[in-house]
Amino acid sequence: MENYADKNFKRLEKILLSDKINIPEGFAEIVRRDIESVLSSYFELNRVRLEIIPSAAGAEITVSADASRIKTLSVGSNLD
Amino acid sequence: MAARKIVITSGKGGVGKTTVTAGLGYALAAAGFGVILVDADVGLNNLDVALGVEDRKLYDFSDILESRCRPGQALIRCGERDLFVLSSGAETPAMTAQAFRGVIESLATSCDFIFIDCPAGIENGFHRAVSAADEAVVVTNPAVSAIRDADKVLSLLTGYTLSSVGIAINRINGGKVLSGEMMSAADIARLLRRPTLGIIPEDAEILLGKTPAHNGRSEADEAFGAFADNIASRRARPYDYLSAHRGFRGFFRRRA
Ligand SMILES: Nc1ncnc2c1ncn2[C@@H]1O[C@H](COP(=O)(O)OP(=O)(O)OP(=O)(O)O)[C@@H](O)[C@H]1O
Ligand SMILES: [Mg+2]
Repeated sequence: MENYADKNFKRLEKILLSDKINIPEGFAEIVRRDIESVLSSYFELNRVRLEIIPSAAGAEITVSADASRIKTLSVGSNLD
Repeated sequence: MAARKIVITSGKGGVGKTTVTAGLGYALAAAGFGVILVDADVGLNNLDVALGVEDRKLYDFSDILESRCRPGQALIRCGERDLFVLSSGAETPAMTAQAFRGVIESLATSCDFIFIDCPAGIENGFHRAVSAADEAVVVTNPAVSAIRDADKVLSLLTGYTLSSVGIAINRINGGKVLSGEMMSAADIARLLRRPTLGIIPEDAEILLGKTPAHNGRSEADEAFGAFADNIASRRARPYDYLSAHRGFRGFFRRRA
C-alpha cells in the first residue's frame, strides 16, 4: 500500500516553504537571463539553467551551464 | 485575578474550532476552573448550538454592545459546573474590535479562562477575536490543505502581541497513522514548528453531535482532559493517541 503519510509530509514541506519564500512569477527567468549575459562574455554558451528551491534558511540556488568554448580574453596585461 | 484569554483559531473553516472550544471548556470546568466561552463567529451562533443551550439564550453579544444588558446577564450556564457561554448575535456597527475587547476585559475579572471561538477565514472577525486574546491555539486536522492554512495563520499571528501560540491537531486516526495512511501528530508538529497542546482523535460521538468531555469515557473526552491539563499547567505534553491502537486493545479494535 502506498504511504500517504510520507508523501503528504514531503509535499507539505515544499508547499510551506514556497508559501514563505513567495517567488514571483517570471522571477527565475529574469535572474537566469542576467546570469547568462554575464557568463556569455567569457564562454560560448549552449545552455544556462537556474533552479531556486525554497529551503529552511531561505532558498537554495543552483546554476548550471555548459559551454562549447572558452572565449579568448586578454586578461594577463590587466592584472599587472 | 484576571482570566487567561485564549483565542481558538484555524484559518480553514470546519476543522474543529467550535468543537475544541466546547471540549476544552467542559474539561477545564470539570477540573474546577471557572470558564467562559465566547462565540466570535458573529452572525452565525454555533457555540451555543454545539453546547446544546441555544434555547436558553436571552441576550447575546450585540445586546451587550447596544446596552440592552450587562455582560454577566448574557452568559448562559452549561450544566452544574462554572461553564458559561456568550452567544455571538448579529453583526452590528457597534461590534468593533475595541468594543469586543472591552467586553472580554470586563468578563475577565470573574473567571479563570476565557476561550474565544474564532470564525473561519482571516477577515474582520479574525482580527476582532485575536486582538481580544493574549494567547492563541491554532486548530488543524491532518489534511494537507488544513495544515497549509494553519501555517499561514501562524504567520499572521506573529503580527499580534501574544504570549503563547500553540497548535491542536484534531480528527487524528491512530489506526491510519500506524498503517501509514495518515501523517502523525509529530509530523504535523514538525511542519508547523509550534508546541502541540492538544491531539484529538476522530470520534464518532462528536460527529453525532454529542458534547465532548461530558462523561469522560470516550477517547475524545480523554484527549480533551489531557489538552486541558496542558493549558492549565502551561506545558505541551503530547497525548498518546496511539496507545489505543497498539498492543492488546489495538489488536481487538483492529479486528472489530
Ligand atoms: N474529533 C472529531 N471527530 C469527529 N467529528 C468531528 C471532530 N471534530 C469536529 N468534528 C465535526 O466536524 C464538523 C466541524 O466542526 P466544528 O464546527 O467544530 O468546526 P469549526 O472549525 O468550528 O467550523 P467553522 O469554521 O464553520 O466555525 C462538525 O460537524 C463536528 O461535529
Ligand atoms: Mg465554528
